[in-house]
Amino acid sequence: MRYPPMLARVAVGGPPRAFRLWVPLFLVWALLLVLLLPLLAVATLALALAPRRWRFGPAARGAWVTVCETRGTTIELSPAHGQPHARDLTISLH
Amino acid sequence: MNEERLRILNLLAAGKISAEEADRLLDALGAPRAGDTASPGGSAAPGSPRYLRVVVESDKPDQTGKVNVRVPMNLLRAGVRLAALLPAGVHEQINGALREKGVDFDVSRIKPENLEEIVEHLGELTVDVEGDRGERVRVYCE
Repeated sequence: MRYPPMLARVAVGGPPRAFRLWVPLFLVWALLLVLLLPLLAVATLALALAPRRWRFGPAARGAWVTVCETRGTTIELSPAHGQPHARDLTISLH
Repeated sequence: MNEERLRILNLLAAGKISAEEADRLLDALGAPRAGDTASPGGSAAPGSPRYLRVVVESDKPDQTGKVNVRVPMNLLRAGVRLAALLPAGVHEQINGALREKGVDFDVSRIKPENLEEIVEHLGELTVDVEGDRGERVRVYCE
């Protein structure tokens, strides 16, 4: 079964004093689902009336698959050494 | 289980490397992990690249930072499939915008049925660009 990223691992700063955080994205998805249901109904209506007919079903499925496939994405940013207050930042989606 | 993977896990068990280091080493080996499931429909063929890596680094680390981005190939596959759903008028707008930037390319020619071929060829792709200020951009698949 396909499912979206459930956890985001965020690390700020490098070893040995890195601040690590596991963000429970599954809670965000649940909240978003509740919040987006009315918007989804409006979007469906708008797309049905749009002059350029988007195929809503395949488009929604494609968008969902795209969100799900973000699992495994990793972004690592290291600032220049000349920036004393900047910290390394790593975000990875699981 | 192959020998290299077993060695990494033994090092982890012996406490000689941290879990993060083990994770990084297993990534480098391209080993499948518990959380990584092949996607139905968009699954990668064995031996085909799993990730697109974009690395920006510099000879002068005190002036320029480092960026390291790993994007799953399945995300690219999903993006191309999604792009194929765009109405024709939108394709023309994108083509026009690309032409303005000097890229003469027709996005409507990217078809989902050609996707595996594109991904397969991406595996052989390596972009290596060096800038005037010593920065280096590398794009490759792994």
